[in-house]
Amino acid sequence: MQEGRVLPPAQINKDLLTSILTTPKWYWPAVGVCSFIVLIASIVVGYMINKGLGITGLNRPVMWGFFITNFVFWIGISHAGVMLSAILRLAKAEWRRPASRAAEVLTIFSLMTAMTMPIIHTGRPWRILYWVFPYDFARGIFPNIRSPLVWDPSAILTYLTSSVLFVFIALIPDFGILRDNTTGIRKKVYTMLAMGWQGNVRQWKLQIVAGVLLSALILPVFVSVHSIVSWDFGMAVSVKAWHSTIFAPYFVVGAVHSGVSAVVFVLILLRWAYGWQDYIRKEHVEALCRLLIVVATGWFYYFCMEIIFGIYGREADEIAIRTLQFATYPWNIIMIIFIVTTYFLPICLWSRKIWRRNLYLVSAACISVNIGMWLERYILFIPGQINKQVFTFTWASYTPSVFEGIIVLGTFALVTLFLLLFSKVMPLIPLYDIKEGDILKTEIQVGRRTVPATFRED
Amino acid sequence: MFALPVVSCLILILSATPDMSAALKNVTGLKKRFYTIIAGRWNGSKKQWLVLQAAIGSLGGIYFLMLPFVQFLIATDLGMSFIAGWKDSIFPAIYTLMGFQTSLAIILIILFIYKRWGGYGNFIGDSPFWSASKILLGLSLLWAYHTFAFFITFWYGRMEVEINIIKYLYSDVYFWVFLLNALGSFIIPVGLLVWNPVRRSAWGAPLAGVFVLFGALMWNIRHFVGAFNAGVEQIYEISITVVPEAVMPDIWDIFMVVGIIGIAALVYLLSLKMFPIMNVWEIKEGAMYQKMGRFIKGNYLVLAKPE
Repeated sequence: MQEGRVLPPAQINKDLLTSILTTPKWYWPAVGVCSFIVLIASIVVGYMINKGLGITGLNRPVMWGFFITNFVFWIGISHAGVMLSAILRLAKAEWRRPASRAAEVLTIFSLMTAMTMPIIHTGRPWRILYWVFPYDFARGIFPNIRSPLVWDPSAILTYLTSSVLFVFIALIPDFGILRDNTTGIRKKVYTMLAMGWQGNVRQWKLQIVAGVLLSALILPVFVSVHSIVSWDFGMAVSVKAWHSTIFAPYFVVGAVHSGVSAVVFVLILLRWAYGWQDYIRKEHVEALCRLLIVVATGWFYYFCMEIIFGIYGREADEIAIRTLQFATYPWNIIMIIFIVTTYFLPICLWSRKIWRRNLYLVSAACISVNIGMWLERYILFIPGQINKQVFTFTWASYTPSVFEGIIVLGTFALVTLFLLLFSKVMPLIPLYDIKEGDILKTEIQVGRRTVPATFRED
Repeated sequence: MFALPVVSCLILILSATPDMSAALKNVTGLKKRFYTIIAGRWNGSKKQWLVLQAAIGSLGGIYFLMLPFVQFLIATDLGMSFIAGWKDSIFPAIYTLMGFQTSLAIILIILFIYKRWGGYGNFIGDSPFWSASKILLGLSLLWAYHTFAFFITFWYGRMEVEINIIKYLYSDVYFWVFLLNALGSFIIPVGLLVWNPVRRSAWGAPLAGVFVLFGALMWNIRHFVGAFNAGVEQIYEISITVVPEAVMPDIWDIFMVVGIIGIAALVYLLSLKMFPIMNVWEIKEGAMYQKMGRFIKGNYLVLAKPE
């Protein structure tokens, strides 16, 4: 894990603060485009609230469509943060260093974006107030705490809060550096955020202990979030393809798969956009791809179990849904695209070391994974609802409208916009983490070879 | 299912080849013949080492991919299919997970025995226990997570067959077995392994491993004895409508369980006569990639990463 050179701290500060202290030519046009798309999506949301959900393709029996698919997709993307930052920190993997901040930040922004989806989906968002507070509002109806739909916001808000705390703790040393390298109003803001950080021994010890504790504490939250989101579907007995015990780990592993792929893609973009070849090296991308092979294979195992046991009981209504998914146009085409893009194509592209180090191929694989994972949720949620009722003459179809497509596109633009704005005020690669990695680097003589090594604290 | 032991034997033989070659001069009789067949052509050239590592890596990957499939077959064929209406997609995953958990547990116990009583204290430090204890902790937590995922889905669904299965395997008929299972597979191991001093010690993870093995035995009794018993009268039903009674073991059942454990131990002890306890070449390789180094005010382990 030591292909790069050890750079002096001043050089690291200069390189990694580039995004904050300077503005590349592409930056404002990118912000402009994203803002425009978000604006169009917002106008469409306003139009939908005014005209009603009828302008979408949603109708009995398919009440959950693009919006919920997108909601689950973004919750999935958010799992990359804890995977790369917390789990790899506890495992003491050196190659996590440049990826951790981008992953944590992607977690926060994708969670925030995901939360807009069910709010938009209600059609009358203000009525959520009747639902979120444990109060009957004089109507005699309390929120049903036995519903996974009520567990959802608890889990997501807990995850969001703990992720924000996690990012903030890790940012404190970098706020100190920013405080020392800026002037004017920015200096004042960073001074406040740095909270008196001086970088003495005691502060470093507390910061590291806090990071390790938060890493351990956020792990159960990470597992619980997507498990609870999966139980929105898994608890439903009425939709035959949903009531499966494997949904929780299946969704969690799928989330890690899509999330880490998204982070890898973001890292490759950052490397190109800011010239961070010394910090986001091919060895990091290669290590992440090897992790993704394991995660993808685990996901494929759970996917196979879900399909096999869907068919296992030979129940007529379940078989009907599987027939729709696998043997009926256009669902069979979507299924083929989904399986190929989620597993077989990326695994092929990650199978050889030379391909794992080709950033174009890795980018293509990561985009493929995310296309496939979006389709996975689509093919999981819609067919079950189409065939939900017992009588075949009640089976309907679902055709998403252009308005839903624009809103979904708007969410991608929103996350990109958040990332761009974040990169302008806070560093996307943790400076102290990179410097710590450089300090811990050393070498061992093994025979005639000098092998890269690292100091281990235990 | 036969492929799995064949692949594992291949891994065993391949990984023992360099040590067998080193031991050729010092053995006689049947052992010498066996070692000559396996490792007679081993000369430790660079090509042979590269081929050996590639082969072990490939076979390990194949084994790892085959294992969940075999566990799926056993769990479904010998467990789930006997209880009418039991359709549980997470059951094979739990069984596979328990396979990993129990195999790690038994490895830790054997390592501890070697370290403490086998005279291998100089070659087995505390660091394997420290590292493996984290994996064992993770697997125990995963067991609880998967079990809860099954339980909450069935409990929430409240369909007759789901309630009957929960009553049968968890809350009523086999409740005490489930309790012992939960204690052994999750509560006690996690309770032990959350503590750093316990994880760092040589005895902590093996002690947790003993409980894990006990818990796994309870799990297997609950599910497979329960499944066979449920299949006697209701196997042709759409779903079980009557919760069966528990089957209490008699003396012959206990003898069989003890005997199976004894056979496994006997096979292992006999294999030690042919195969080295530890891969000497791996110990040497590990030693080459480690040293103690001075860092600021203390001495720390330096670990090389050759790839």
